Amino acid sequence: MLTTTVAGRTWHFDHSIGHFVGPQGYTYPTPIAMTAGGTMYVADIGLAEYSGAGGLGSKIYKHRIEDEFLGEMGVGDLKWPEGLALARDGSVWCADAFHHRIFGYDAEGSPIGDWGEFGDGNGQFNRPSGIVFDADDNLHVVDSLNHRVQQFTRDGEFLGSWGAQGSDEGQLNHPWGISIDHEGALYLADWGNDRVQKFAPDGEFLVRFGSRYEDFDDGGSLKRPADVAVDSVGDVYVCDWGNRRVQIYYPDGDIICSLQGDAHEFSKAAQQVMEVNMEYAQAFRRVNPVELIKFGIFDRPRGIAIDGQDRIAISDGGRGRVQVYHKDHDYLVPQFNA
Amino acid sequence: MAGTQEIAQMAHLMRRAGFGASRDELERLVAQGYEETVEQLIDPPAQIPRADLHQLFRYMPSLETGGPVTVPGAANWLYHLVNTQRPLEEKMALFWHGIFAVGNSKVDNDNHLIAMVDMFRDHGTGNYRDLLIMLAQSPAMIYWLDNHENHKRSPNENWGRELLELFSMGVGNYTEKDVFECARAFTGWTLGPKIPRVPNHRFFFQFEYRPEEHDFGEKEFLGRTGNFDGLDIIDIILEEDACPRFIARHLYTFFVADEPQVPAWDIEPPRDPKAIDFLAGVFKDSNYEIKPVLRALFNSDFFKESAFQKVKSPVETVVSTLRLTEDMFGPQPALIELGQESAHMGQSLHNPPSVEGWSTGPNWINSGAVVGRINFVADRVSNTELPGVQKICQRVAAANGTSMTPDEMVDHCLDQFGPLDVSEATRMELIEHASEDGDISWSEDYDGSSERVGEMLALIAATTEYQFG
Repeated sequence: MLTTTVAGRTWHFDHSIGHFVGPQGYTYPTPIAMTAGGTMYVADIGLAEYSGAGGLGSKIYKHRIEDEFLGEMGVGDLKWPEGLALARDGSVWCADAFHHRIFGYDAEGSPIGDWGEFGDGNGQFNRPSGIVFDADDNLHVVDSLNHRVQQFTRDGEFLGSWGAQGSDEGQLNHPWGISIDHEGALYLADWGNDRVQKFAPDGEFLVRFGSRYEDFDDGGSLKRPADVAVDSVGDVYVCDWGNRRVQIYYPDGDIICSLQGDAHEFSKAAQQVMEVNMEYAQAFRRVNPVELIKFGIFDRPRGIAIDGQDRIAISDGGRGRVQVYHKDHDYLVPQFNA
Repeated sequence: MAGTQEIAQMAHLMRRAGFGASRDELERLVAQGYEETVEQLIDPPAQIPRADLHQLFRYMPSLETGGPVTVPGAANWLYHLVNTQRPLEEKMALFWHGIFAVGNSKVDNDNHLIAMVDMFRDHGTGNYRDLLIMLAQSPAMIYWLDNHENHKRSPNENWGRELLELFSMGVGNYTEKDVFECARAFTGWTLGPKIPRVPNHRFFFQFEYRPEEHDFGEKEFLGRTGNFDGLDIIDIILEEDACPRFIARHLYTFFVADEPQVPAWDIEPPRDPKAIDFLAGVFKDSNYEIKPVLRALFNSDFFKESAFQKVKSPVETVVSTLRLTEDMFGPQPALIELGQESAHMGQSLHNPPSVEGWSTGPNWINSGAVVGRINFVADRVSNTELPGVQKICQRVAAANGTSMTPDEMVDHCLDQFGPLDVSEATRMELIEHASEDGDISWSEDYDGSSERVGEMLALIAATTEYQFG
């Protein structure tokens, strides 16, 4: 088990789930949504644009975080799944940026409704991206190419919107993922501005995450952040998509540390694949151990979700897998280093 | 307003150094000036952007890395070609891809073809020596020409031979002994084992120099003797007069006028020997910097007088059309199918037919390819819902009051769709067709008139003259 210990916090790498393409595999996993108990929904952009992609089209996978496959949904509906959220009743909602539309499914995957259309008016979308439900079960939708956030009832009734394009504090540039904390504050991956911004529910700017200094690098920079999540004590996790890492910040915006990816061992599904592909297993043995380190690191971390036990699931987009960590609050390092 | 001759000359420059330009852009560039436009093409300011790859990979992540097929890689490049505002970078990437021809049919790792084209894009207007060194260390090239099997005890001549024959000097300027000695100098330039693609997608090969595999013995190469390695070989090649002449002839063929195919160059003299001498001189005098020779070429009289003396390549045909119709900017699923269009016409990106690259010029035209070219262009330019076609219609409509005769419409279409020079016989055929529906009245039936313009553009695309650029 690999650990990262900083500032009294420890993140343990647990395991990875899936492999690239094929049975029990992903193609390009995108956003993740997760219940408090650890049931994960992972959207996958697939290869739907290619003729003959067959079962490799866009869809949503349902897994237990411990790596138990439970099913899939959205097949045939989705093309560019950019955002996932879970409503209070357990239904699953997905923003599709290609169709400019929100699709809903019950927890077992049956469609329960879809709404939205292209445009820049109230209730219309131009590449909807991250979505999240608030405590009132209203849906906040990142309307990426309109550079705003819109609010809806679960059935698509427009409630309001805020945000404008720009790079000043509080403005947005092609925002992507979104998250919400237990106080209702919203966190937006402000993709084109290389930062995450925290807002009050009404859109008032609160905190910035990412590079905050022009004259030195504190290690907290972001490049095209994709998604964001908040753990039980308010630490903020950002998929630093452009830098291929996950950045972790204190609630006030200071950097704590980075996770680079630690999936050096095969997932359960990958192990099964290797058992029937002996030539690849042999090829692995020829690789220089230094080179082999690359196998575990993130390649375009795209989506992140945290459950009630601070188990952290990160979709490792370019590697076709999900990497799972857990945060340990009472981990004492020194006693084992004596 | 810019004069007709100035517009025509700027259109010629933009077809050759780029992929065409809209009439609005041509008028802006004429106002800017010809030499200033050449400078901007060769050395674009930092604020002029390339295509935004982050946008592409956000919505279409499969285009970031290739696989056993070239479909994602070709779509990736098409996105660059259609969206860039630095068209000469892409033109030079195409130029080098045609000379340093590597195909994924053998490499089977299209991520390395993507990386190689990225290298051409980044360094294609830099220094030729630097480019040769990067090429010699490129995993795609090493695998393509078997240099990973070039060992001290059993040299493999494939890379050494093509370096001399196709990448730097041409047949007739070296001996078989030189080929063997060249191969010996590149022993040990190989690849390290990489993490395999199963189970978690593609990783990259890395260039690796293995001294235990390198032949440190004395070598005789092009009349010199010494313990040469690969870098020494490249430097010796650059001392030969054949080298700048070889690249100069390639530049002339690609940018000025069609020449015979490369294998004939040792028996067929250049069509313009003075131009080759001039370009070769500039190239060598600049220590093989590529920008000075491009600057000299585009500002030369022989270039300015060469309009419509080249058959457009399939990639030029597809890209110039997509840029003209203006409907494929940004990430688009259709890029995946459109990336294969040039392949249907005989030019499969990332998959040249052999290490000699493509047979160009008149060889682009055969009974199958010409139908594909015409149908592709005609289908798109006759679609009056596409923004670029609408702009042409608006310009034609504004050219001559509220109505126009069929011959006026033909002339305005030829002007806006180029401007394109056609023979009188072709023009009369176009007028004959346009006359079937009589005069055009924009004020009474704008949509119907637009459709007639779209139909005329499709007919123009089918002319012999339109196949030249």
